[in-house]
Amino acid sequence: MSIAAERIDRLHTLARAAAAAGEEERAREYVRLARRIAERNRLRLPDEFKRFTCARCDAYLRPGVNARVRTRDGHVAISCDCGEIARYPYD
Amino acid sequence: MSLTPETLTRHELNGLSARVVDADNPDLVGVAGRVVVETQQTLHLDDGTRVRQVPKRGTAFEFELVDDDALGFEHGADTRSASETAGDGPGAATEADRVDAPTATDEAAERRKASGSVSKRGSETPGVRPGQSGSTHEGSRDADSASRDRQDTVYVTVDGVTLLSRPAHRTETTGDSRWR
Ligand SMILES: [Zn+2]
Repeated sequence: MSIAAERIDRLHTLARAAAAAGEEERAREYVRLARRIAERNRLRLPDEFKRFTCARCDAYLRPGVNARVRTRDGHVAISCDCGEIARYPYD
Repeated sequence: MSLTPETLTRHELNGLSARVVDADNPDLVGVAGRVVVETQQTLHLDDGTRVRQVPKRGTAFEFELVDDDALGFEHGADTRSASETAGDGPGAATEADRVDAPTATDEAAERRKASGSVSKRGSETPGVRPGQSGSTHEGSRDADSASRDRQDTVYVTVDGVTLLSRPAHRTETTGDSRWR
């Protein structure tokens, strides 16, 4: 694994920990840095990272805390506190 | 390519434990804590009570690499050239002797680890860490005195000047491109 991919991995962990500790803004910065590294190194972000971060406000999503998860017909909808809704197919 | 003393300056610093061992500003010497924020010119260290913003320029940081990092470190040591490890034979042996490794393989690993941490000199690692953006060049690298006290912890001292780069750009190897 390249250094860039490892940095993204570490930042994902850090963002999750920061969000759990109530440091939402810090978690946001980690998420933004991970995104920036991914785009500069032309790497795909891990699926788990994509599903637990908001595409609009970069918040690290914690279902039940700052995100709502609903199972809809044919997809899962997860909405951030900022209003952004992401939809993922089942499976 | 995991987090090793060789790759540290290009790896993620957030979340690592660091200590200021030397600084132009005497008030900052001794500041220790986890790196929580990195900017182009500073690191923010959270010591539990407050977050100290420390300039990279003119500061020597001692980073603590532990556990899985140490395993990766062995990995990194494997890829190093034999001459480098051989050069530190005596030192490595004493290091390995001090730790009572239960099995031969462990001892070998220990030896590699030890030699890696002793032979951390900028001039010796050009192949391992290719030069990157102009602000961080090989000669100025001061990551030498990597000492170790427990089996799974490695301390790496880095001159803050080598970290002067935007956080997202530090990983890149500008100048390594073959597309010219
Ligand atoms: Zn959002």
